[in-house]
Amino acid sequence: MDHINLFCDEVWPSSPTASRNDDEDDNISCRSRFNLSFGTVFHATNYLDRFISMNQNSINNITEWKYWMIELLSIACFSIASKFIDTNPPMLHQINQMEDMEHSFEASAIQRMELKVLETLDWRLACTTAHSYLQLFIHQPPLQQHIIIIRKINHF
Amino acid sequence: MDFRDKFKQLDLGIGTSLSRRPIFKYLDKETGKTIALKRIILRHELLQALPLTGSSNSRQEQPIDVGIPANTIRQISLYRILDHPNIASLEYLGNDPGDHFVRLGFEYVGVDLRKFQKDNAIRSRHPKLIKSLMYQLLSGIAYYHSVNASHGNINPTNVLISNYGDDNNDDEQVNLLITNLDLCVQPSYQAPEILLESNRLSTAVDMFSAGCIFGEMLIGKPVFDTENELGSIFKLLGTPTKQTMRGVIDLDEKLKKYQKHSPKDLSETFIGVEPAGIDLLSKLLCLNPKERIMASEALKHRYFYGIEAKKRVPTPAAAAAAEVGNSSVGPFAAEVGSSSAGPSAAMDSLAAGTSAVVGSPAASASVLVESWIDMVSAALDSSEN
Repeated sequence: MDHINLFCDEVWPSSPTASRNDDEDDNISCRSRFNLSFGTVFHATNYLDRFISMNQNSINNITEWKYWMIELLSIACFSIASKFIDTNPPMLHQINQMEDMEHSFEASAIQRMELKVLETLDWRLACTTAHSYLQLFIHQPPLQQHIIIIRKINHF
Repeated sequence: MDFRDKFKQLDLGIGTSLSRRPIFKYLDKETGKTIALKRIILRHELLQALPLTGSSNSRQEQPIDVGIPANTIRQISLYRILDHPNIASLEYLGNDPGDHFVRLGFEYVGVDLRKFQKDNAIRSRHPKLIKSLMYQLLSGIAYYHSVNASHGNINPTNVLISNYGDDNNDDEQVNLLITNLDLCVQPSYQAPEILLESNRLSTAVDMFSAGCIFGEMLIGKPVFDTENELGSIFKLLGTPTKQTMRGVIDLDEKLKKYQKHSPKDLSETFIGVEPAGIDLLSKLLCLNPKERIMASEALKHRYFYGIEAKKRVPTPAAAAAAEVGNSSVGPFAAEVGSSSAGPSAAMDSLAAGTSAVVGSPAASASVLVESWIDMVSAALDSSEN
């Protein structure tokens, strides 16, 4: 249930101070640009969260990470999620050419990062995200009037 | 741990893969389990050097510059969650140091179906044994379908038979496992809609392959020809018309080169098989994928009456229910936060992963990367002590 809370706060553009929110914005703008499904964003965030949470116990934790590390990580997560879910995933160089990225990475670097993320996640990609529930709730008429914010993104 | 340290190659190969490499069995030195190794290639320059045959057709459209192929990601994450007594489990997953390919080690017990039939010519024709094996095969397929996946490559080399032998005459005890190695196999066991290059494939392709295997078990040799696969399918089952294969494919062009046949009576080809078996076979070998029997229905077919109670194989419905109970809402369920890799392993992998990073100003970026790796390895050292 932690995940659901996280998404409520962060999926909708909120304060862009924390780096994680920036990623999320990246992911969302990616989504509209490449016309991918919303499930992709949720899955990408899930992978990102899991990857970070698996690293946080070690001594030098993510507070010491540089921005480009997070950026590379989020590109990799996004790319994995889009390939897992969407029928027509964007190419790596398309993701890389987004104007709001601060760095650009070589395709081979992104591929290696993807592999590391997949390994760390133990290749378990089919996860239950908040989005899985959203789809369920949105199509329940009695609940619809209570879900105002969700209507904005209701083009599943 | 390095792959070579963990596993010992067993002397005999089990066949040739689609990429023309022999596939070997390996022995896990710790657990004593035998695995068969399959490699999935990640580098595109290597991918393109491969001959495009059989099920690897899809690689043709794989554009360069996509990172890890989408197929690979989907396949492996599917293998990760499969858990069924009739499906070979994924025992080992690792990549080589250069990240050129991923190694998948599948559980390998007994022998494959073709070898089993060759070595036990009389026993393998035993009706009771066939019934038991078919039930297990269909259970495995039904499980695949219950998680919204299809195997796509069911053939005798992917079906393993174990727990048989001179001292074990109980047909009910013989075990069947479905694995997924890309071995070359002749003839193909693919459904006619694949051979006709239809773009609307479904889980029904597995059922046709299961039908081919069923037929092969009944008569002791492959049902269809090696050379002219589609032609021999039509010879037995009749040439499809617009009525029998409606909506599947535009037939006129593709059928020009095939002779017209009318469907044969299956009981003439499969002599001495009980009527229920013929009925099931005809439903499995149905030309139209939309009318072909589904795996879960096939398990309830009257051919299997009496076998269900004895076999303690969980029904796919029960397996699927367990799956749902765990965590499923999405297409197939998996745990959200598996934590088998420890934090240090994760850190290690992150270091390796970013060592190839090129930032915008190349020089400063490489310094950054170096320092990060130093930091990470320092953390690793202290966590080990």
